[in-house]
Amino acid sequence: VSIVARVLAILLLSLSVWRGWLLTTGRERDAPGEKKWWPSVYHGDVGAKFLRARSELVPGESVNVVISPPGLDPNWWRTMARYYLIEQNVEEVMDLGAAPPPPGRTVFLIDDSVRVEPPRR
Amino acid sequence: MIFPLLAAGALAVAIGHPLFQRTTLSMPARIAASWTTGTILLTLTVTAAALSRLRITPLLVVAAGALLAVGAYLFRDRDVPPSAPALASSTVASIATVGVCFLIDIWKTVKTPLWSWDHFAIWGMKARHLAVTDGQGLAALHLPAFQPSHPEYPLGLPFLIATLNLGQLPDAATFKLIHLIFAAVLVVVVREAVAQRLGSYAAGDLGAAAILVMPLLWDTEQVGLAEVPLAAFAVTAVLLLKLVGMRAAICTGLVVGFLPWTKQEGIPLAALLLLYAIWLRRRSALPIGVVAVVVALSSRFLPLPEGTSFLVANWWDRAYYRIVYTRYTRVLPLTLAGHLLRWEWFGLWGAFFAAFVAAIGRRRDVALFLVVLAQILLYVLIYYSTFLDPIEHVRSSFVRIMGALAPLALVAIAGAFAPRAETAEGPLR
Repeated sequence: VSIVARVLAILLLSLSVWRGWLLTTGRERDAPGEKKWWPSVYHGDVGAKFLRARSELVPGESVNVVISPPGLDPNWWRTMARYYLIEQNVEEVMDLGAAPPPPGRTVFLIDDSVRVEPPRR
Repeated sequence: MIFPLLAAGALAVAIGHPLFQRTTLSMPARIAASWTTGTILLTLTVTAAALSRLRITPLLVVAAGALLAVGAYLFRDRDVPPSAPALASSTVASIATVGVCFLIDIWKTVKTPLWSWDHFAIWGMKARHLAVTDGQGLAALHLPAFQPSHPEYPLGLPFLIATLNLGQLPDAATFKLIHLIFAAVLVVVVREAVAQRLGSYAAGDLGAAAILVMPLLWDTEQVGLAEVPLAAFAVTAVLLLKLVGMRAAICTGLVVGFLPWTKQEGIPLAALLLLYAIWLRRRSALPIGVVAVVVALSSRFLPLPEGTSFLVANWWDRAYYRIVYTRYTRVLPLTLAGHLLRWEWFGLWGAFFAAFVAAIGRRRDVALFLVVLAQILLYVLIYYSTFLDPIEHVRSSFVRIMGALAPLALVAIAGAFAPRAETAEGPLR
């Protein structure tokens, strides 16, 4: 039993250290910046677009989100925006063509493009 | 960020500690059990206050916690504790193993973004909403904006987060800290439960380390915010079931009864754990059952909308049709088996089924295996019954729900190799 326990301990330690090394070097499956499994299944490229927009923003920054989704429920998009832009304060999520967004930087997610615009003056 | 969690955690331990100070649990397990039961009591009290239109504020949580702590102190156990059986202590190597595994898990939790959709949009969004509205915004669950968040899911966890954060708005770090606190509780209770069965805390350390490297705590993609609390409550209940006395029984019932507050799958799990309690303790399981049923039924007071049930119309016909006439009869079991044999589990489920056979042969704790097996069987039936494509449903949820069962499975495996058989009253400590 003692030998089994020692082998198990060595295996567990080695595995944790190896995973720690993968994490440090950014090669862990869901390390920051990697394409995430969950969005790739459920949200397709939309999730990746939100993540790309987030990388251009300052954590804690207040932003508006303007979207042009083809045939998706706006409530779903609001939830998505709040999910992906969690480090930001999402002030407003609106459809393209709606009234101008309130002050604050605006993230435009239109078709295939992501654009972050400065605050309105 | 940290202060509310520290303050609420201290209150929770102050509530629970008088109830466990005379038990023979080790000091870490006593603190974990105290925190768990104290947190549940505090959360239920704060939830009741919120439903009575009192706003969840730091003052409310602290006042409720102080009152509960005084009540628990007056209700404390004054008996002389039973003598504890001697268990071999941890070794430096075993502590180092569990310590390194936990440190790397902490590191990963800090480094990675918040978890999956299920993780944030379901539980996190509701916790934030409760904080913004001081616990008064349950009516908003009926709005279309909450439709994708499954408004019908139990609200125990969002209320628990609101309580532990003293009603303040939880940020990403708060969610991660609460996740890590539950991970620490889980590690301690798994260690204690395995040590009780194998007679050695070194073995308990290795069991806890094994859980730390498995998907429940390592996978920050597919595993959600509620799985670790569900697992921690389930293993704590199994641990407390072996304690004697009325206070322990009430605390056990409290923890079992909070499972349905945590997740929908907590309902059958609570029922199965109650059957396990009856098997283990016979008549002395009565107070556990009464408290558990009362706590579980109290969740019905929350005015939750119907939401989107996965088991809409004719689910039984759908399951029958799929099992009898479709390719799922052959494909789904293979898919499930494939998931259980994935390398991330390190052979846990293979060991579980092998240990089940060993437990039958050695007349050890077969009932705990049956609890886990019955829960798995229920999941399989649900995969056949919902309107979702079963294979896609398995792909999106099976690792997550099996992750929450893994610690119980590990404790069951340890029980199969226990030197002595379980009896109705023992080996109690």
